[in-house]
Amino acid sequence: MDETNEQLQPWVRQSWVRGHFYRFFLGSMVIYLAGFAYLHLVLQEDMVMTTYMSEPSLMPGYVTEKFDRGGLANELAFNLKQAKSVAEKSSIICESLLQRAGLPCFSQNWTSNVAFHNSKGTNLYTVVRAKRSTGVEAMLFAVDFNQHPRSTAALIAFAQYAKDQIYWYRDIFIVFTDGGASGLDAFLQEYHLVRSSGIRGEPLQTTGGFFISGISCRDWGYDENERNVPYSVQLNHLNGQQANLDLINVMIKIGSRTLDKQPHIYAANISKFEIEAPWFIPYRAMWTQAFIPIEGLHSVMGKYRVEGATAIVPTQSGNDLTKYGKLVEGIARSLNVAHERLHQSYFMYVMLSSNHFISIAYFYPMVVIFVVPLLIFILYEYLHNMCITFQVPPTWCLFHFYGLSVWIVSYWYFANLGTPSTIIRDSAILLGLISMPTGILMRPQRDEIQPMRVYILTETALLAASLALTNFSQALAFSIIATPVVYAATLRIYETLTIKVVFLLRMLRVFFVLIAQPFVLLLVVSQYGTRYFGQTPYLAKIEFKDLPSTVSDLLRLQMLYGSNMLPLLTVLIMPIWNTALACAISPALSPDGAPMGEDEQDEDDQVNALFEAKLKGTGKIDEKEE
Amino acid sequence: MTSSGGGESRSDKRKGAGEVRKRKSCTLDTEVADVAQADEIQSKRVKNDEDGVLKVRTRHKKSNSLVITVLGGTILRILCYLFIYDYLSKQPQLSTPFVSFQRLQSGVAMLKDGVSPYDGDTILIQPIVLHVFSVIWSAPRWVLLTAYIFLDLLAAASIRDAVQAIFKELNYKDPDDYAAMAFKFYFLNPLTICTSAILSLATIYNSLLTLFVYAFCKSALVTASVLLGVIAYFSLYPIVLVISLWIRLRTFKKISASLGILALTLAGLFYVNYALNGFSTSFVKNCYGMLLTLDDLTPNVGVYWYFFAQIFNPMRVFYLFVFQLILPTMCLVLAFTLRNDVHFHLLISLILIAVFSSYPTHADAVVYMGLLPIINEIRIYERRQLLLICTGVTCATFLPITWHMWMVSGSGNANYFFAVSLFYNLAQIFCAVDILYMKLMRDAHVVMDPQRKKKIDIKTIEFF
Repeated sequence: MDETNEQLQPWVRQSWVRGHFYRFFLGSMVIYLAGFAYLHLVLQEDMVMTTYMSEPSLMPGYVTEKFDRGGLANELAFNLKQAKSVAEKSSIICESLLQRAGLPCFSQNWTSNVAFHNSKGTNLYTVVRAKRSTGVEAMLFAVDFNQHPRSTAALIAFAQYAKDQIYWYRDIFIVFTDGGASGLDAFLQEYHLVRSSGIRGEPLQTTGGFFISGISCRDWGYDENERNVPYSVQLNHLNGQQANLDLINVMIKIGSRTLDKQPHIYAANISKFEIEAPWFIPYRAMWTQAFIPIEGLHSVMGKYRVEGATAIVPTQSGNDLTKYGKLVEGIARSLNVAHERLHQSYFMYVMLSSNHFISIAYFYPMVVIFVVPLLIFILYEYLHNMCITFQVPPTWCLFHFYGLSVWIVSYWYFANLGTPSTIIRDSAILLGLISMPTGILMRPQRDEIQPMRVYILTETALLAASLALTNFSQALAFSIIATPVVYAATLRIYETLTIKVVFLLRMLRVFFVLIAQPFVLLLVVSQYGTRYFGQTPYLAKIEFKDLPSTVSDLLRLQMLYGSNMLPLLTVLIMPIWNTALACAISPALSPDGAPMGEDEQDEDDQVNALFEAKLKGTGKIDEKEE
Repeated sequence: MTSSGGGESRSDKRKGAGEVRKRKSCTLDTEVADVAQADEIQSKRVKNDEDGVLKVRTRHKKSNSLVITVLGGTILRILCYLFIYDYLSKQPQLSTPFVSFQRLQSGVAMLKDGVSPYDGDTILIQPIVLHVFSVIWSAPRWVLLTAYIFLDLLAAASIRDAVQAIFKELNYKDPDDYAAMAFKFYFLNPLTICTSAILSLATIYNSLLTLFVYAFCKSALVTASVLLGVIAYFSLYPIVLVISLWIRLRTFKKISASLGILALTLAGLFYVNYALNGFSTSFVKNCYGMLLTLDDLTPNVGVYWYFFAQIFNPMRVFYLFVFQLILPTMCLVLAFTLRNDVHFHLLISLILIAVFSSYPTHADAVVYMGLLPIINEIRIYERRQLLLICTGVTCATFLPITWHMWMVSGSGNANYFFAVSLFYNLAQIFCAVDILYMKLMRDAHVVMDPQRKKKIDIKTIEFF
């Protein structure tokens, strides 16, 4: 080839790439490790921004609370605590609203539509209409009256107080739910005239304008005897959504003033308070966002685009309920004067403390850095082969088709035919189907391996980057784990090594991919993660035998609320894992793309067989044998 | 292969080692030479037989591949329709007011109720389309879906035959293989599948456009002119393809005839619509006025909606003129550069339409994507292949996510969606620029050294 033509040819680059594999390899490793350094750096409190109000009209500092119905709240709380049944509690709430406050008390029955999950309840709700406007906007306060009597009492007392005030520009809806997030979901569905396949509620007797914000209230659930429990704010919604940061700031500023306590973020997820080191909070924030779909009542508000958060208030002494009422009043009055819908502030952030946060501009690069090694190897594969073959590997399609089919069939089955009595057995079967190592059962053809490498590298990088836009913490966890797994599975093993070493390396990487099976990781995470980050009803410490019930929990979360964890696992993550497994098992490729290892031996055998057949055809071999 | 550095030496060593292993495995080295000489005549016979068998096998493989493609594409469309129709139909990158099935439903309902669909500014679809759909409206929805799948098949077959015709006309290698590939590119393209599954009118327009491309490549000039008139009537911007048609026709007589046919088609269709609309021109403002003035700022994957949402009103008319003139001007100027390469002019014009039309969707891109195999012979000069593919795939993935962030979860805003659509259009522009660059480089090298063409052809990699 002459010199000019050589300049045109991309084989020059190709040869260079092949000669510099180890540079690519080392570069990728360094960048991956740099991701951890960046993670550590960006989570330092000195490096991040302090919180501020993007919506100054909220004016949380100017509100002077005048709530004075603490006595009433205490009395109600005592009565609610004494009540044994839900019906008794309901009648206390309605009586107190109707007789003492003169407010309407409506009820709404709701029931679960999911065949394998029987649940039903009755919500109670009331409304304090705005006196200074036509009520095109509203604000929402919600409490689970069955679980949190003190918060319920504080809200009833606040309703009575609010009715006597004349400065409301927005309607105040107070919902007393029965059944936690499901109950509030049923209320919000009917309020917004939305139909969901999971929960069905009766139509509401009265409605209002759009909710500018929603506040859920709950008593401090843990350490009832602990005197120094903190005031805490929860902010994670379903599927990685988060509350508007202005709303969180309002709750923190008013809460710290009225309750005279240092507010805590994410503290409600731990059972003890030994781990309160500042550096630990962002990790707990990411843990909560990634793995806990329903944190509280507020978690379903995001589905209806209601900015919601939960205030967890310590209410040990009698005076505490007056402070509680002041807190609710302060938040309500702050939201009352907001000029417009909360939209200016941050929606994507990681809280480092109650007054420090990292914005998307700083945390998104974290995922990108962890994904860069994959991008480098996409480039390597491209330059190595000088093209991306546009062949779509059929085996890769089969893995995804299998995952999608399992999801569609199981969804239909559990939505229509599943029963509570057989749910654990059915979930075990589903677990088996999801975990099926199709990467071992369906071996790809030889010519599929190279495009499959590019596909899995691209798919993993894209999934991480896309997920980071909706649920950053899930994306971070995924990219930290998936990058080395996919990296190892697709790494070329070169012919400079002996066949035995190549075989050994292949087995090693197959083992590595096998232990990175998502359900194995789930077990590990639940064993060690819950130790440090705390258990919740949705992520408890589980053993191997508990896996089917974990799957049924994930199913319930998906069907009732629309959590995307199980579909993500079935339709995307498991096919990626299976593709990685298939790539890891497949024969090593030489720089020219020729298969190495045991397949080469097969080729030699084929050559010998062909040669012998030819000799037989000429009759020479027969003569020699004779 | 060019040698360079350690990679070459290792490669040579490996080859050498492979040969040694093969020799070792064969214990009858000397017999090999004897057999080879004695087998010469016999091997020729065997080879002839093998060629025959190979041809039959290849034919069977191709027919199997076609069946799998058609079956797979059909199943995917049905699955998309059954399970994610609601989700897809709300995606602005797949549906604009001009091709939306929901708007069509509203229009037909208004028509049936005796209300003029063009009284407001909701219905932007031509009267003839509304009347045709009002006739078939009572048919079950699966009949409509089947019809859409057949339209897609027709479009894919047209693209396949067009690519085959281009390859034969330009004396490129393996026309059948690349034609089959073009078929797959179109029919299995996820964007085509999604567009078809939501029953977008773009599927119908695309099938007309691909028929035009086929007629264009087959030099069926009357048919091409008529089809261009029809497609231009429905979506206006393909009218710029008349420039490609002119440079293909070349002679003044043919150009005049083509223009006459085009004008007659447009006039005929206009009259039919005028009559169907009760001899009223009220549809013109909605169907064409809105397209040209961009009054409907529904987000899409184009670049104009965001600009006109932000611009100050006094400047609006000026920029409207500028932006609407970009497309015809570019196509006209390119006609001088690519006057001898009409197929490339057609391809680049289709890309420009997908970028610079007022309300583009992904459906506008699928036609030129189907035609991309025609650049195979010049891909040796490509510069941004990986970048373009990765950008395209990333944008196609990010667009629905950013839309979700903006419209559903509220965690993002219009800037996110627009930023991704901007990159999407940037990738398309770079694609057009790259094709032009490849073509001009090839021409330059052929002019400089006629032998170069031969050398490059030998070294062309089988990319697809």
